[in-house]
Amino acid sequence: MSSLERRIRDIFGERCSFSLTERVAYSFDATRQRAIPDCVVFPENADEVGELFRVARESRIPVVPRGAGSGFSGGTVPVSGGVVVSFERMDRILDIDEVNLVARVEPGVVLGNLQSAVESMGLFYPPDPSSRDFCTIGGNIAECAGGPSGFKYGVTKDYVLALDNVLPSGEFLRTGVETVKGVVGYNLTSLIVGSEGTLTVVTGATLKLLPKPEHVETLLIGFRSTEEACRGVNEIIRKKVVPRTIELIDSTAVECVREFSPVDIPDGAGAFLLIDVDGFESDVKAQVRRVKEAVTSLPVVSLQVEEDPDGRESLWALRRAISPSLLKVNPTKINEDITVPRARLPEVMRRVRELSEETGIPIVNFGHAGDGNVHVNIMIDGDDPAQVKKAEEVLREIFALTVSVGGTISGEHGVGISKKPYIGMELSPRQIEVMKRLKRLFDPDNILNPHKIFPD
Amino acid sequence: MNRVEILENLKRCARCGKCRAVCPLVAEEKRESSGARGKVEVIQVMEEGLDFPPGELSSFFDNCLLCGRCEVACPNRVETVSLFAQARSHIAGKQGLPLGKRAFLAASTAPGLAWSIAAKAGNAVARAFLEKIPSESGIFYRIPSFLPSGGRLIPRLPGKSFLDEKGVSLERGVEDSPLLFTGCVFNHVYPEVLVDAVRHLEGAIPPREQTCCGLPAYAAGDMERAYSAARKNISIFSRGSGPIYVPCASCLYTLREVYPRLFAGSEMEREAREFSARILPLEEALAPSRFSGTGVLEGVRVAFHRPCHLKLFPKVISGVYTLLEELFGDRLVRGEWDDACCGFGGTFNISNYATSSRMGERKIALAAEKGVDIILTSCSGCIHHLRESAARSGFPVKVLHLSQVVPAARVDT
Repeated sequence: MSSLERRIRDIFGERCSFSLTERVAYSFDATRQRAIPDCVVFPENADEVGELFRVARESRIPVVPRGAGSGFSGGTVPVSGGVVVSFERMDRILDIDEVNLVARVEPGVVLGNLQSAVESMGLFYPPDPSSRDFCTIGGNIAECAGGPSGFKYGVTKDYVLALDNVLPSGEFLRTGVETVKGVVGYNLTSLIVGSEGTLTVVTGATLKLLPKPEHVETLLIGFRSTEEACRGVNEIIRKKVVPRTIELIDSTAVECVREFSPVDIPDGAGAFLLIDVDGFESDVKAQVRRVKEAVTSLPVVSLQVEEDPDGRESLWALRRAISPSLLKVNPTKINEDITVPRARLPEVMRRVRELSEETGIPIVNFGHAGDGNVHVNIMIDGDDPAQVKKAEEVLREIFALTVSVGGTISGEHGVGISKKPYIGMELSPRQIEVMKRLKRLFDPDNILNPHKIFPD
Repeated sequence: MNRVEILENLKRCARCGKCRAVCPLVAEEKRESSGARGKVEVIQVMEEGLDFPPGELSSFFDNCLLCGRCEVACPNRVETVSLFAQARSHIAGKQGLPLGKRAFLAASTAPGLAWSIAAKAGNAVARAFLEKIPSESGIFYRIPSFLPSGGRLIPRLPGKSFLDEKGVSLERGVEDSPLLFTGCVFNHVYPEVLVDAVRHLEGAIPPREQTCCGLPAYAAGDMERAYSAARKNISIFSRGSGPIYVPCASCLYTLREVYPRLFAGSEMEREAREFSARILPLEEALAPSRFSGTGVLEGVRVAFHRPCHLKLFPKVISGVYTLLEELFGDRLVRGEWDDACCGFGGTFNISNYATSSRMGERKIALAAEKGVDIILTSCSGCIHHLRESAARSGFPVKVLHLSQVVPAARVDT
């Protein structure tokens, strides 16, 4: 046993593993990129994380925090080995405060569990990435996770009030306030949310809650084409109504599910908007009327409204059927999350379709059109180097297009290692330099999740 | 599962993590390696040629219930159960089956009769294991139907198996009479379940020559025995053409889901598919419309334990609830915990006894806390394990098969 191994065992006892099987199990995330760490540890409190950093600093070994490994950026892949810190055991909801409308949690809490817990008390925590049943709050904070409800309710950064952090020096740092307002000093909490686990390790969070909307209704509106559906989005917003979600299911996605669709796809429907509106019941009825009025200027093919949970679920089934059906197109999915000003969405979608036609590479699009965030899925056979190369060219072109219309190359997945080569397309050299200086300030030894975000 | 299928399955797995949300072991142990995705990654790495230290792999893959929840939840339909069984088989081939499992299999998948003898007479293997059971450990039964480890409780063996008493030698020409697949545990250990089961199946024939479904062998990676059990059952039951009712959810899963996979691409594929298409859960014979229930087990509160292997049959599950609500009204205690795994997992119970016991005892404690008198379920593994867990934890919770409480004929009120 090396002295390093002994020191780590001294801190974590049984709660660490050096076995190859265990290390392989913590070597990847949802991008399927892999790097095998030297060890995995399972802290139960912040003190243990602090002690780990003191050891890691002396030995100059990387420390990589990990929630559920459901990220889409490779952010938790230990590219230069070291210690993976899994927060699976720090999964307690410490407090749900009905008067101050906050929840205090440990980072390993599964998002869906927090949502069930607060909803049982009539409260609401809106961020809803599709991984909600298994992703963790710590990962959500690191990546600033979003989801369909972002259009109305914003994303994780809008709900993080305060954080307990461990600095790479091993010291503790509390940031933020537990009040709605608070402007004393710099807003370090906002800096840390979305920093992809490269500045601090979060060991606790105070999250803002809302009252749970009492009533929700779902509309499924069929359009002839993707572009008309995108215009529908803009018409709805022009009517000054803010649905909880406006999901776009574009023509490529409709084709994927047409054959085995759980929902009847009417003749002539080439694209759909799936819309949730929420609030008090009378308010929801008014919103549904508004949405219907908004789309009457367009040639709508079909329109369904459901309000009971089963009925709503039957409409959402169409959206949920897309991901599994993608495999029929090609085995490898390059899932991107560009976000553009929503007024520019119709032209961006048109150009993406042209790119697909020009290159012969299927691109399936669906996602959160309300906030201009579309999941562009480039479908290839990852075993075919020619297709991989072509896909990279397509990707670069889509990113260039996105930036040219004032959008961002990642709305919710983060950079990690996946988008490292592309950040220069969006960020200026000066922006990158300032960010790197911040990184050095927090982590002078470059031991916390190194080689992420910035090209080396 | 051949190599091409393995590679295809590995490729299909997106590593999204959805399987984490449904895995009873991830919830229990809070580790990626307990769940499907971590195991898939290890298989991928093995495929790519990385060598693992000897011994590490077998305990790694043993740590799985093979409950199949990950398969049901997987958006990409990755056949995780087949993958992990194959991995166990591969490791068994390399390293030999661990001793405990080998003995277990010799007893359970040898032709039916041989197991009866092994079980009843208490052969050398049986005796060796019996000796390890501390005599002071609560209720002490005497049958090596499941291998002991620590203070294991073993049910008393009835004098004769169900098939010994009621089995019928199946000749060709039984046409479309309904048939009964008993499963070994019900046949040898709890024949009273089958006595009750046949009350619901008018004219059903239990073929005497049937053997174990093969799940224990499959789960232990002993493909040869799994195949031979499957071949035998398919051939016996092909003498008739009627529906085959199965009272045990794990057998049901094996006959319906695993058999077609075992023979995919082989000359028996069609036969296996035809056989599987005839397999029905016994619950289908307990159709709610046949009963109008009042006064069943007056005053008793019941709960339904949803066996993992019933997951593939959501309609059956909702049918059971409808039936139990009709029979028990507000004496049916319902909750999300109905779906909590009992932790048995067949070979898992042998290799990871401590975890397995903890999960079972927690389930029983929950039932007791909610004032449940009887847990109803339909899997022989769950029944066996929950009974043992109840006995160990000392809570007065009974565990019965659904067919034992549901009245077999219309009760006119």
